[in-house]
Amino acid sequence: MFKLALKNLWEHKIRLLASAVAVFLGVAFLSGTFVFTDSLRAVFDDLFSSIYKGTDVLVQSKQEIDTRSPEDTGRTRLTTKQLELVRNVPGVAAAVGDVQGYAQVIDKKNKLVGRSGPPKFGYAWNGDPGLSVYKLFSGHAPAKDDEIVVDRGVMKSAKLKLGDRVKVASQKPTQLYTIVGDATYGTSDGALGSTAVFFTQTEAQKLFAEPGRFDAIRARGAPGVNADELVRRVKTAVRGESNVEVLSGKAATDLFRSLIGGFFDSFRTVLSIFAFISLFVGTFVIYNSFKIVFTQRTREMAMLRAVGASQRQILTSTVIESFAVGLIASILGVLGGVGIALLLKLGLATIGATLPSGALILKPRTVVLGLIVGLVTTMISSMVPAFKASRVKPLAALRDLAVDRVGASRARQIAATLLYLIGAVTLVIGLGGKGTPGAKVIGISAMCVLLATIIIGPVIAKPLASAFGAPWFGWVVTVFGGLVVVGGVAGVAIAIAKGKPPLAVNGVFAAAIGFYLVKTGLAAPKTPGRIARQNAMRNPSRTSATALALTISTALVSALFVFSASITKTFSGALTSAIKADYLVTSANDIGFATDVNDKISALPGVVDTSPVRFTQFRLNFRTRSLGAVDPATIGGVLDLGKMTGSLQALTAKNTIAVADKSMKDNGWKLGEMLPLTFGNGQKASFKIVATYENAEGLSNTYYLTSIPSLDPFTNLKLDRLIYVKTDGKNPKAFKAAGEKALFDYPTAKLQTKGDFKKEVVGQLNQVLGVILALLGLSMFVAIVGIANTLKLSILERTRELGLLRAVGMGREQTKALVRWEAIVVATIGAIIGLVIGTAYGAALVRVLGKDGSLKLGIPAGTILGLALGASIIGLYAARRPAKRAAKLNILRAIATE
Amino acid sequence: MDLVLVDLCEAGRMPPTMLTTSAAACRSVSKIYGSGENEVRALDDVTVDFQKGRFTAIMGPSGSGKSTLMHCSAGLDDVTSGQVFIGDVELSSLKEKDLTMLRRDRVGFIFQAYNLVPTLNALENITLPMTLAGRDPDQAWLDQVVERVGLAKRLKHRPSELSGGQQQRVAVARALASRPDIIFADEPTGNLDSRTGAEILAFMRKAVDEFGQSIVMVTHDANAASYAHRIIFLGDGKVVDEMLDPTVESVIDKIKRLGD
Repeated sequence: MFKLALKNLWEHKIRLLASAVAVFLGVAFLSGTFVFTDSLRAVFDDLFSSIYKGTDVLVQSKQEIDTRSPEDTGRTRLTTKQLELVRNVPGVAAAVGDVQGYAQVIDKKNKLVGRSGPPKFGYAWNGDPGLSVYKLFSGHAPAKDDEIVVDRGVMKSAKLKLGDRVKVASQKPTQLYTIVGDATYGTSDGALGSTAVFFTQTEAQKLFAEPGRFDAIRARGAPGVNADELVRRVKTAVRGESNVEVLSGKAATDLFRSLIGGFFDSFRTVLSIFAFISLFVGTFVIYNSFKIVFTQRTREMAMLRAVGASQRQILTSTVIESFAVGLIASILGVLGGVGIALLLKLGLATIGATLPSGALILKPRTVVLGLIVGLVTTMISSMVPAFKASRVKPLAALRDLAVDRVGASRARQIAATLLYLIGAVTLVIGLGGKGTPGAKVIGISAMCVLLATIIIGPVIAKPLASAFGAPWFGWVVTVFGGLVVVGGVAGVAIAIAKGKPPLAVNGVFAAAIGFYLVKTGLAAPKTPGRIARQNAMRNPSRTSATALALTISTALVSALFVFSASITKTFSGALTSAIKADYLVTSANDIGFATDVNDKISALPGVVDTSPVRFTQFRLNFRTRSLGAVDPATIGGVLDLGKMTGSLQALTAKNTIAVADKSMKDNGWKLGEMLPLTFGNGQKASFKIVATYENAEGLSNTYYLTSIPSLDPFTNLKLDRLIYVKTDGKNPKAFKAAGEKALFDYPTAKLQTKGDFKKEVVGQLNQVLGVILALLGLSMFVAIVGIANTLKLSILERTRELGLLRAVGMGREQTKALVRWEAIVVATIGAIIGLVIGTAYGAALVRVLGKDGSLKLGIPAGTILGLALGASIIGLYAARRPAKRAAKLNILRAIATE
Repeated sequence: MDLVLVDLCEAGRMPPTMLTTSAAACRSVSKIYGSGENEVRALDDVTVDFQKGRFTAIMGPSGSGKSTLMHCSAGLDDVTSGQVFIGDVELSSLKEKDLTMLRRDRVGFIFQAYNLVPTLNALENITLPMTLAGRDPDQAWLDQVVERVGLAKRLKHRPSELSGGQQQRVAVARALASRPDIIFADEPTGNLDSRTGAEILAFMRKAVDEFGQSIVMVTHDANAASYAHRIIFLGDGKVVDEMLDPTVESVIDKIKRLGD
């Protein structure tokens, strides 16, 4: 039986290719994720162990909230006295005080050096070679306050040389410095894409902290002094200091590692989710391929049964077959994963994020996981077809292939109805709740409905195939195809008119797709279309399994579109109604800009009001919340905060806070109440509620506001994040020009109109959407493989029928139209079901999550209609090769096929 | 008369196109599979013509080339050398698309089995070649054909709901419905019991006698061949003999003699 199974596998290797491809893609994605994150993590691990290399003891103040800003630790700064305490501990060979903050070199073209994303550090140069990872490469250490050393990455990317005078942006006014040296991080040019600028200690303290203050103290022991003993001694020495922690170099490294480890774990989890989605879609493809292949072998299996093979033997042989497919595909998948990780690494390199060369890490865990997941997926999804195949009656050998009659069974209907009921009930409950708990219940409901639809699929596939295979839909596809042709031709014309002929290729491509859509659509009402429709109807369980693979990806995609449309709508609404300012100054590096930007802008002619805003976090009742710091005098003029009680003017008093109505209600607070806040640096302070406001939309839903002076003692990074600017609007052109001139030395700040700002935010949102879509693209691709495979297999199965049709006069183009139309019908069914479920549940989630007013429901009707019609392109694409194959059938051989 | 014409053709003195009585014809047709040592001459310089309004049977032992002759004559397969005519159209000059059109419009087929598209009902199967061509069937003629085949009550049935004999009758009706120049039948009764087979054959003969339809049938069954006006015997890819107005006995007799 074993031999037979493997022989069968070899015979049908092409037929089972789609299952293998589905498993392969999923496993490759999954193991690629693991290999990539493992490798990346190892690189960062290396980096972080090198940060504290040579450091035996680290002294810093305690941190309550992770500021998520590498430049700003958020910790309270230490004093020179504390540094001296450490320095005087017996056995300490050297101790240095670190000063750290945001600093970024501006190149000769007035552009910021360094990509958005990685941190831009400013440090005090520390002369102790044992306590510095950065080593001087050439030149000398900064000796005067206008001298700096930069890392070699900065030197190279900005094409700088020693002796150059450059501008450096920080939280203080932009200033000129002379580059007197360059440094390497260990042996590399920089630390993983970050940039570093080194100042003298006094200059660094002036820029980032205050004279005599340090972010941390690091010390190394004299030769022969035990590191643990040294930690103990330092601990004793600083016992009298409050809020200070002492860590060994190793503990500090581990702490760093665990922080970054958490990040990688969530990064990996997110990627894995997409891998599992495509594997889930893959189960449909695998199920279908095995089912069709086993059905085609019914006669052979019946013959085996007739000559004495037991049911168990047949089952064993089919199980062995699926095991072998799963194993081969999984092994290839793991190897493919290494390839994917390699591509990701190269991809990062092309966008400039050069990672230190490190080998890709394929842990045994990754291999085992990939193999198990691949095998289990294959086995589970082939189990039902295998079991059914084993139950073939010996007599079936004598009969012709039976038409699939599964579908309308009672059990199926009952199970589906029950699940739909549970889905409906949980949906109602979920809609009644709010926030994350409600969303979770709705998630359960979505699962139930999806599962019910999968179960009931074969029953609804027939009427759906009948409906979408009918001539009317042919006309729809024809019209759609016509529009695509027009769009494509227009695209060509525009590309040529704009003088970019290469872009015309896209237009030609679109026009070609449209042409085929029209051709297929026109064939729908004719005989090939009718036969195709019947084909989709005659095997409903196959049609539904094929279509449902696409359903899952479309459901996710449409839910995603509902979300993004809702966010855009909410945001645009907030901008038009809640922001009274007509310009905004935003941060170009997502960190912030120096506070004197506000002075420069407010001095411009035509400015009525400007109001800067900062953001930070605090903790209250075990929850971290976002806090906006504003200028109470001006904020009312640029923002519409809705109905208020109390007065914003009251915020000018120290340690006062304004709270949004929603939070007041949720917490049951009253005006005048004292809130015990804990800030990032661990400092605690009581803030008095002096005002409430209705509308938080203009401040990206920040529910707590205080004044900038009140916040000042609690943060290290004193950068403005945003300035609202209101002008008299008399001469916008002149204003923009004057503004840009005023900000010339501050490339960190961008002056934008409200409209530009809106466009930028929507653009960023679309970028995120694009990344998620690309990740979902894989599962969609698996679904397309599934459709193509089902078509290919049913063409094999219907070889004789196709031969007959060709013999009695069906032309090649008609044959292609037949295959294409079937594919379009199946793809459309899958997409429509997915769109309905996805849109409905996307809307439900938005309703529940947005109950607090943070999200308004937006249904992107055009996009969804486009997706529904776009399914026909997917069908067309999937049918590409099967159609060619069917049209090329040798008529004689086809007729002679058994 | 027939023999004279065949002789004229064979002598190459008269092109078949001039034979107004020819529905299809082969001139010096050879069909060779493989090459070198593996070369198989399925047809070896065969010249034959199938007259209009006649029922011609092609007989011969397995491997004699009878199916190949039919496939080549019907334009289902191309020839290595020689010419094939359907009516006055020479097939080798036709492109795939024109061949398809020709088959659709001027040739009818009846196969041994699997003649029908399972998803179409009997009527749809009968009118299939016409709907593929986008033509409306001649309703009066269609009614007459359906009536004659005795399927009037089963037109809405799917093939799976019809007996083997009924399915073959639908196939015959389909072949007749588009009034092709010629119908090619490949062992049309091979899968049927003798009584049902006899019905089908009688009906095919009647279609020739009453409607003037031309039919070419490949068979190895003497009984089936006896329904034809004329039998062409093939052996080793060559026409070895032929017979007019056969009876079962004379056919069996002839096969015996050819075998010797």
